[in-house]
Amino acid sequence: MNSAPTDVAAPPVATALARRQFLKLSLSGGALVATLPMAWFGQAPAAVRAAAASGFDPNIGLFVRIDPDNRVTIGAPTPEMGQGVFTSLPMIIADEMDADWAQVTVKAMPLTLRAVKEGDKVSDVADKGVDFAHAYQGAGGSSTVRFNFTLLRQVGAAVRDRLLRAAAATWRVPVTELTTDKGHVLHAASNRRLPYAKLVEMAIRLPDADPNALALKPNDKFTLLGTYQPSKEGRDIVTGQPVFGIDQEIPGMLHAVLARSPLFRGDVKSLDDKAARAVPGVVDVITIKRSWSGQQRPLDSDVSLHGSVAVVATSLWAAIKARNLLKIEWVSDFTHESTSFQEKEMHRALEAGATALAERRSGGDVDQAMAAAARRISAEYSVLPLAHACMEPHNAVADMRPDRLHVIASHQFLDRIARSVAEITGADPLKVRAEGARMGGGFGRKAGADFICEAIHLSHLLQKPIKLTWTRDDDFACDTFNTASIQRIEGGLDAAGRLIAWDYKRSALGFGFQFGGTPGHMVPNFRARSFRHPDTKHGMSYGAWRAPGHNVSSFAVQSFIDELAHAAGADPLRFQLDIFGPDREIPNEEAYGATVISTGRLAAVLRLAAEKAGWGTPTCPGIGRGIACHFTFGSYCAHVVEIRVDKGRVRVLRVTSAIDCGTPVNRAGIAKQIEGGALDGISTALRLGIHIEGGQVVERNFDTYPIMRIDDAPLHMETHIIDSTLPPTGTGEVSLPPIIPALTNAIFAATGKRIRQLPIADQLMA
Amino acid sequence: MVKFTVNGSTRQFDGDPDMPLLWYLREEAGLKGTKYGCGIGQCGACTVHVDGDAVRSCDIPVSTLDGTRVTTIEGLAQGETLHKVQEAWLAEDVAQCGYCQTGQIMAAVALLAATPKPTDAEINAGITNICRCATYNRIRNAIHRAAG
Repeated sequence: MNSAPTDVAAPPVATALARRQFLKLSLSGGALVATLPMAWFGQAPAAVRAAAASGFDPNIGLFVRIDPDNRVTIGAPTPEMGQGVFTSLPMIIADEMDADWAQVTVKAMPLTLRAVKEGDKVSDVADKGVDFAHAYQGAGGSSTVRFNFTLLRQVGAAVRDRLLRAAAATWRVPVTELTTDKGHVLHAASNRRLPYAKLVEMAIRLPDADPNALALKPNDKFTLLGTYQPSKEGRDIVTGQPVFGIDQEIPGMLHAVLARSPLFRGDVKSLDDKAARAVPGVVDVITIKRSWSGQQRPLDSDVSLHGSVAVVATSLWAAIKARNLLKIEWVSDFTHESTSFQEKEMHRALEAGATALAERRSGGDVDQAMAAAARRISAEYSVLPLAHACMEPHNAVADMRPDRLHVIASHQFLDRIARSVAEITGADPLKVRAEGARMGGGFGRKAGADFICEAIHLSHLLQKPIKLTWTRDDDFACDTFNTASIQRIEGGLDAAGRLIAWDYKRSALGFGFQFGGTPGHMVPNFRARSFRHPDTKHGMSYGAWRAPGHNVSSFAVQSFIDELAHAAGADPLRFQLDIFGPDREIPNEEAYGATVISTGRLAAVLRLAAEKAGWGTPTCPGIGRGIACHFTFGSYCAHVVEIRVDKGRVRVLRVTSAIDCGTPVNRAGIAKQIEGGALDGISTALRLGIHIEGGQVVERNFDTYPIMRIDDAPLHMETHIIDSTLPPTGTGEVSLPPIIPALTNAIFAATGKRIRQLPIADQLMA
Repeated sequence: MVKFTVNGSTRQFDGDPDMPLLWYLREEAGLKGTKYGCGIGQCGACTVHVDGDAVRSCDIPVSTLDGTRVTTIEGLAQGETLHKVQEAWLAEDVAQCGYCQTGQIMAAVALLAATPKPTDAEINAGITNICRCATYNRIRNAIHRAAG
């Protein structure tokens, strides 16, 4: 994500229970319920009453519920898109409260927001006086575990503390003589034990303890954190339960399918809807004027609507059929835009120098050092735009009748849903009932507001519940793409073959940050500059794509380091370790995820991957190994990739990965993210790229955008997780950036051919 | 009027003859387990069995199904007892987002019916479903586990 948090040294307020805002434990139907009510966070009483009147339970914020049979329900606060937080975040609570994980059921928590005022400490999505009420309920930027870790531990600790004191009171023994284990309190001295459920009535009568004064478990006492736990939603998935956004329904809903301008930032010029209206089941055909700049920003306050025509019908099939019968002429100011236009503009920005300079970082004196270098090497790397292609086409269900204000959507940021309702209807965002459904992939795309706004807009207009569904063609035409980019790097080596100067230039048309962090200050004389020409007239939409910026900067940086190593006649592993130098922390100027980059931690993952992959041992003829590492959002990852090239086609044989994400929460989940990110990067590098012609996207479905299938996946993948007690950082994104250069470095090792343009596609055909 | 069975129960359909089986299942029959991914038979998220063969339901008009036997993901388990492929999927903890997985499972069941102990090469050739999260190595492991 591209947010620049106001204070990254201290976590957002939601990460730790404030001194006077205690966990509330209550009895409900014989069950102990632990919640953080909205009312506690400076929420005006009137708003709480209004929320209750709208049918929305103001006490929703369920973290823990202990039922009379001792089964426990734990709330999963953050949206799930396959990154495993539905399982990993509840593990944090469960471990601290010593629940029996086998007896735990997980339920997704709906959104709760609170009003904030000037001077309050807020999260990085706080806007217009509104912020998350307790847990950070957004999923992006590899942030969910990082932001929620301490809060969730305190919740678990507070529940356990209350149960211990309840047992102490029941048995009349000092609380210091008691322990907890798998849902029971034990008194070893008298050989007594009680299940939590039996302590509930006593527990709720006891006074609160200050959650900030409660001791949290030392890492060596963890029973769940750091173990391998399968997904809690596994059974629902394999039996086809309707858990995704696209599966949701509410009574009385109509279906909406839109024809959106395929031309960038286009609008309807003329419309013939006669044939569409004649399809049985069609209720209305509505033209929507574009009201959106087309750039997806996390705090986007714009109402995000494409220029489009909406078909509203009583069935989804009727809406699709009728939409395809619309005859529409589109108009756009960007029909000149094409792949070659974009390429020319990026080159123009690079040549323009100062007038196009957007950002810059530096250290030492790169011009002087370069002039004194014994050898200077340079290379240019280019990447096409990339589509997200989430497996689940976008969708939302919205009911904007004033007494409902209800949205169900598979979306990455639940607050975005409430804000969009507020922008479009004028309603108070705190009165919105926003429920997140499981996403069939997110990758940054499902943080966009457009599909949410479409459903809300139509429901508000028609005063009926609306279910909006995108088709796959819509998804490709109207994505918020990963920007194309050109990166140029020049390196200067001294007489001994050491890197003494690094000059990096980048040009891209959309946002994407984190370009200068590595090697950055590791090199005594470096400069990193980003260029964008201010008068470039281009309309393509951009947004966050798995590890934005990093996903292409690592390709250039780690490929170039490999090129420098070969130029110096050095082993690439040794050469890169020399750049890192002694273990030290260098500033991370983008400051997202961490304010420093630790060369020691980066070196450790590089060494671990190398060791486990047998780096330096002989390979069979025709087989090449490549190595790369990267730092993203606080985590460190390295890969060694082994490949061979078979009649111009790359065969990936083995991927060996190392990850340092601080304290591991769910080792099974970490392994899945590292594997998945690696294969995503391989899929991307092999064949993927979006082309533009006449101001629209050329590729519209998987027949022309060939996402990897099983026959390209290596037979051997292994992930090695660094044991750490440092605060946990995310794993959803960090694996992708370095896999691409590890792959292309392996191709060089196997064939002597250096890949500098992505995708690889036919470049290796003889 | 088209008559066919879905997971053993008889259905009748006399709606739009163009309607693909996928939308019949999801919207008319309320069976949400079969997923929409691309609409052009490329991704396999919509995979069901028609008379035992794995087919892509987004591409098949309901009107062509007279007299056939359709099986969806909802028809694999016997009550609470999961199919051995579903069990293998859980044991290998395959899913990430999970959206493509029912289609993968239906494709795997059909593959194993035709090739009870497939090699990696046979799995590679026999399963062409897309997984955007790329859970492929675990899919392979699950198929080997189910094959026994």
